[in-house]
Amino acid sequence: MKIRATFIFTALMLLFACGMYAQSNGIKGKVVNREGRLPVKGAKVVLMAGTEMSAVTSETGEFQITDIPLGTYSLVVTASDFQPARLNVKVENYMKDLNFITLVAAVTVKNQDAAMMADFDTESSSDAQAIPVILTSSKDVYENIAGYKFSDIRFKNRGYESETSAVYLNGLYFNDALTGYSPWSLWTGLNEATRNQESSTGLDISDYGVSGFNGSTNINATASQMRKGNRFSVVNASGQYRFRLMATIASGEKDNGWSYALSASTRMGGNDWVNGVYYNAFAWFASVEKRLNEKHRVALTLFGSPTERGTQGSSTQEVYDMIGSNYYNPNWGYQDGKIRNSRVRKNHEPVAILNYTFTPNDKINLKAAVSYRFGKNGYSALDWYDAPDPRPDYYRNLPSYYEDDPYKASYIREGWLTDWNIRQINWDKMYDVNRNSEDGRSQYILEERHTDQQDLNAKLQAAINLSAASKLNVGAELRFNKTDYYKTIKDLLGGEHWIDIDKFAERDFASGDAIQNDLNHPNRVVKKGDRYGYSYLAHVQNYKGWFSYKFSKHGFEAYLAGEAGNTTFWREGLYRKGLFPDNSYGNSEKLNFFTYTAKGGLAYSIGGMHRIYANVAYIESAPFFQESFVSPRTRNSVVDGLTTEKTMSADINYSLRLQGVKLRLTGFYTTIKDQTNLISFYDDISRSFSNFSMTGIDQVNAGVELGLSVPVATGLSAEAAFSYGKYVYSSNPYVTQTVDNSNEVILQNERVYWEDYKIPSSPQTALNVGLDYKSPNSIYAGVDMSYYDQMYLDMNPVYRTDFAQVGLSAEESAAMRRQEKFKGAAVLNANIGKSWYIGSYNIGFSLEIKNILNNQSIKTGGYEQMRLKANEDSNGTILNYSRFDSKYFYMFGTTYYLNLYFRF
Amino acid sequence: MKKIYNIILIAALTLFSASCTKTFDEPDEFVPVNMEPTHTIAQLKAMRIGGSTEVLENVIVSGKVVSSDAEGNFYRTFFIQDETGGIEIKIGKTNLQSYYKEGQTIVVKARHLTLGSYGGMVSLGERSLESKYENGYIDTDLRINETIFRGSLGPKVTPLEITDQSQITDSRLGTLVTLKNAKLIKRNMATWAQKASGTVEAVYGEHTFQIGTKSVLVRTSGYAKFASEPAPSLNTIADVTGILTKYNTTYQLVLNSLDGVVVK
Amino acid sequence: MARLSRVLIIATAILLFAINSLSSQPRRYPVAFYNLENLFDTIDTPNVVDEEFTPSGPYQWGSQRYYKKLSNIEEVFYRLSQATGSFPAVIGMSELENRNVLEDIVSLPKLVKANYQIVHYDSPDVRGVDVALIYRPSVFNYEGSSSLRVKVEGRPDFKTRDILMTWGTIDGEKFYFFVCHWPSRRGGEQTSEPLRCAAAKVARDAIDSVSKIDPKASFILMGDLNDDPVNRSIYEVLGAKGKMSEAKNPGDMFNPFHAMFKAGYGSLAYQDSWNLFDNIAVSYNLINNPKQKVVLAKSDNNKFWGNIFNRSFLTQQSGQYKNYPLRTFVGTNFQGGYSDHFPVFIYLLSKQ
Repeated sequence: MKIRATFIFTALMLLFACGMYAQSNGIKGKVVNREGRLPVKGAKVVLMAGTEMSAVTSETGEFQITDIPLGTYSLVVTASDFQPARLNVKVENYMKDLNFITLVAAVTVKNQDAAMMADFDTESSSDAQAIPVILTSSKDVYENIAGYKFSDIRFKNRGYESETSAVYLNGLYFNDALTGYSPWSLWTGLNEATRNQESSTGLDISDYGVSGFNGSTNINATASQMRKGNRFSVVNASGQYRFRLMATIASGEKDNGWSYALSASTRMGGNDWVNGVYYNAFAWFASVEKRLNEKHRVALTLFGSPTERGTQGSSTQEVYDMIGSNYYNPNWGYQDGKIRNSRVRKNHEPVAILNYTFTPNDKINLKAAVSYRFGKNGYSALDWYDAPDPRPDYYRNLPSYYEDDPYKASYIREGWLTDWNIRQINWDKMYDVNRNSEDGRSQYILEERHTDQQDLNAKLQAAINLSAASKLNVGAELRFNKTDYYKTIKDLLGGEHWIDIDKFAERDFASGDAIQNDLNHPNRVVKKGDRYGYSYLAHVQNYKGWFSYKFSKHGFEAYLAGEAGNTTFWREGLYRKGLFPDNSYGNSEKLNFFTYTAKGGLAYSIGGMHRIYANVAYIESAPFFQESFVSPRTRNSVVDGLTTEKTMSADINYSLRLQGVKLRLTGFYTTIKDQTNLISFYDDISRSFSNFSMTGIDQVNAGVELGLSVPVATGLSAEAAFSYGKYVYSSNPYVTQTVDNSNEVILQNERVYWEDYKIPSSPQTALNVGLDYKSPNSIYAGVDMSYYDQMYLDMNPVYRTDFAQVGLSAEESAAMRRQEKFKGAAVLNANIGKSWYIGSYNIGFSLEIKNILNNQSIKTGGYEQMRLKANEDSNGTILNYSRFDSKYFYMFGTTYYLNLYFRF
Repeated sequence: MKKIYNIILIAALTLFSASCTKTFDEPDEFVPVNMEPTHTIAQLKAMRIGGSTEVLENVIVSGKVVSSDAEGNFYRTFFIQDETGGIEIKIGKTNLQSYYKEGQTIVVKARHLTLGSYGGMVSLGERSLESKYENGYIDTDLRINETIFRGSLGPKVTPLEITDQSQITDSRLGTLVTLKNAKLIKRNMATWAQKASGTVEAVYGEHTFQIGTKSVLVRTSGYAKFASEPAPSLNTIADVTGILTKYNTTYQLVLNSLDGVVVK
Repeated sequence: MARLSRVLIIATAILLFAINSLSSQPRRYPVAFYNLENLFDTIDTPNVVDEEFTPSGPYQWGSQRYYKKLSNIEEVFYRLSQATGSFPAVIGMSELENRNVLEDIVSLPKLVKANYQIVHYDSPDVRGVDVALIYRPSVFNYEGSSSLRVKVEGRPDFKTRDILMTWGTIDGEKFYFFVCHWPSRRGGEQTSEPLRCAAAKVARDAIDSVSKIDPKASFILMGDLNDDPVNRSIYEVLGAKGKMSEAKNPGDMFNPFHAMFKAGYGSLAYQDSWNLFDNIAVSYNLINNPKQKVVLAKSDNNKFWGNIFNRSFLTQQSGQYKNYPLRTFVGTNFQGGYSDHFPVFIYLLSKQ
């Protein structure tokens, strides 16, 4: 009984509730006029919901209609003096607020239009649409493949040195002030932070300056430019480092105008192929930015890559064959059961950048930027005094030294194969020798050679849209660099001190002023961390102004750009070298160079599909500090005949974008004249540290380049990059050989007969073809094969001088002068990956395997040794010279790179 | 929430970067070899019969280092001596003084090494390919590791004072001696030797000292660091310390350094 | 008295002349379509998945951002009007949340004068994005509208935007406008093609049934079709061809954007290639019927019959994505731009 009653009661309650719920559904809204949103009172609201339901708006323009059956109906609002408004309303089971319903005044047609026509001055405005532009958010189709795939072989684009490619960071030109080298090592490990890049190819113009003839890249690494979100990745690899961890967060630009970004990474461990090579590297990045208002924006960016890494040395084929591996590394030895590398790079060179942007209107954009780079950069090496050469592959420790005595040669070989202390550096012996020192003076030490830079870089740039068709960029740049070159004692290896004298000079002069490295502090006792040996500053200052003007109309584009500037540099010696007491301490002469660039280009586009363009440039650039002094470690003497480098370059290109097909074909021709180069090394003949200073080096680079990407099937595309060139020396330069421990000039302006010899160290034929697949559910896979050929070994200029041919037969002379060509090689690579999207999370992995065929005989570079072997008769008279064996680097066998990432 | 994890991770990585340089423990202290000789140096020298002689038995000799190449007067070779005499070890390496120090006991396993005589001086080395030399340098590290062992470092050997010419005998060859009150009777140049420079070659300096009626020629290499130092004038009396050697019939002395010359 | 009458006569003459000249001048009506890129209000609507676009959602969609976007839309439509010489007679739009945002658009100060009226239906789309049409009542005489449901065979749960059909007259001639936002390419172009073909079929069937009854009716189909003019859904199912001569019957369609696509033009960019997903196709009567008064017209500055409003202010001026459309969001990063699509438009000319 009771149960039934409760049941009925509940049922009634439910009904009631439903009823109540049903009772509270409906629509409501506020009727206002369009202009000013003033309420319209007394408007009639009619809803055709099966039956007609209506309401009238109140004083406040509000109305409400309740208890409407669910469905979609038409609603009409009418009011006098207004045009009716029609809505389609979906009635649901709650009170739906339609918000504002605006009514338009009922006005006569013709007057209305006349009034409005006056607003739009049809004479001046134009409805012309812009010709479609080629989009370049990702790199150019050739660069995309070549830049990545060809890096295994240390490919140089078009045979040009890396300093010819301009690298900008946040708009500032960042190539090294002393050498021109690409500055990528400054932000190594910060891949996420530096992902936003804009590039130009060849002679094309960029937005950041005039740049040169080998393309440019600008990296936008400010907080607002980094992809918003959190990213985290773990890498396990076998080709460079073992393990990498990276984390990045970027806020994106918030409403209050602030944005920030942080990133950090670490790379640890070695690789599967070469012992002694390891990474102990970190990187950090922080950027904060504020959009002050519509017109002003400020950003501050700070980053650094504190890195320690062990390096690989090259060795001769005799050594590789003896060991049975092309990956022998002479730089390390066992100590304390661990691998200790004597050639370790250790650097931390933080950078701070301030960027300011001012956009007063959409015609002008002004940018100001300033950066400061500082820190320490060291490279360790063994140094020894009055002790045997500790390098395991020193030529006297090799079987070839005993080619006349097979018994000894076999002992050498067996020693190499059975004793690690013979095969690699014998650290224990060095400690032993140092400990045996009577007065604690080390005979072996580990030195660290420093180039510590302080680089201030400032730029002001204006981008002006003169009209819809023309754009002008002007800029002014200033750069001040002061670099401290010196070396310190990194480790005394069991001894207590070192004496700062020139060991090479001591051998020749026994004692006195001549053997001092620094007359101002003779015979200085130096300890761990102390500066010794050499110490000088490089001062480099340059300033320049530039402009670029771009004009486009009806598919034609033209640009004109120019730059002019001045570079000044000098050496300031901090030690008064005993051998050169009047020419080492204090400032050298100040060298001044006027530099300029003139560039122009024309392009014609057909639709957004075909584009033909050609560019030409003439550049006069200053030599670099590092090649301008005959023996920068010891004296202020400047290279004779130092002059600007003159480059003339032209290219012609065709690019195609058509229904997924991307193609670029380029032909280029460049001549570079009057280059200078300085090579420093230890010379066995003069038994001293020696320098080759070369001037008058000319070259010609001509070739073609093809990049191609063709969709083959859904998600599948075929890609290819092909580079074919002829890069040769086009002059016979001069070489002057000096030594560090005397003012003797060993070779004075000796002619180097290497005209028509090939530019070394990069394959002049390179081809990569591959297939890339992307599935709809984010599976990525690819396979590609590279082929390299026409690669030549870096040359010793002296082998091609008359001096080195003395006493040689015609056949021997040809052998002396011959340039080695590497065998052609093919490399097979593949990759696979997948990405999963789970809500707002993105997880994925990618696995790349390189050199699947495990080809371990591919030479990637090396050099002819800089020394000459003197062949003497029994009286000690030099009969003739012969070459030392060349040294090589080889491409690693199979390696993999596995990346797991997580984004949210 | 998730952002915090990432920030913590970044902070941790950044902090980490401060530390983490590789450190290596220094190698253990040198442990001198402990081997008893089986033969005396005199016995070893006596094994050289007729010409180049390969040592076929397990012969182990031990002696203290008495020569030094620190000043450049000795080259690629060093002398050891025991109570019975001294012998030249043609090791072949340079900069020996830092590793085979004066006063250090050296143990030599002579088996398969070659004894040879040059001008009456017996030395121990490796087979020679040149006919004019009975033996050559040992040279290779592996061979050296098999044959020459370093014992403990002790005080330097006190040179035998030679006051009478009767003490100058073949049994003393290869040992460290001091010619007491010897008189310089002949010399071929004013300096100890002639350094090589430009086109001028290095020349040995020969300064003959006399004990009694016996002459000992002090021979100095042009590559010695003290080569350019002035030699004493004729008739100077001095104590001259060095290694006693011989070339055919002439006794010679090779200085370790100028400390070995004390002018009276 | 005589002077007054003379003045009156002259005044009337001038007035009549003015009126006459005004009325006898052939009048040009731009018709535009614009994908607004997610115009949501900041209020969380129940039963609709719009939480992303609320102040607390990942897009942090508050009033400041909302009004910035509205002001950008105002700028686009106003500058488009300046370029074409008058406010567009009809504007089709897609990716808007509801009628409220439309009310906000038509009330924008620079656009208020055009007195746009709204035609809108809530769509069944999961994300809640709708299509809509606004028209100037002084040009277009509204008669009725309908929301055509797009259903895909074999996929009863698939929900997408309805096709908005609006009809009325312009200068006495009957017009049917279709505003579309066809299914996206999510999951792959090939896989999703049948979805767009299904939508195209709905439009095709509607055009066929109307033109059978009223062969004088003109049809204009506009929208973000998520396909290029050469793709199957547009070219075959809808049958919008690239050559005017191929339209022979009142229901046949001509797509002026077909030739533009072939010439490399685009209305949105993806992976460095241009796609032309925003199209306006017109029917036979507007191009090949000599008796038609209101016809498709060409701008003097353009060799094509279609126009893409791709002014530089609508594109990124610098950076890695230079020349790409300047969007409102990149991921959840607010760029404060316009849209990832460019507006497209055609001209109708009333030969009066």
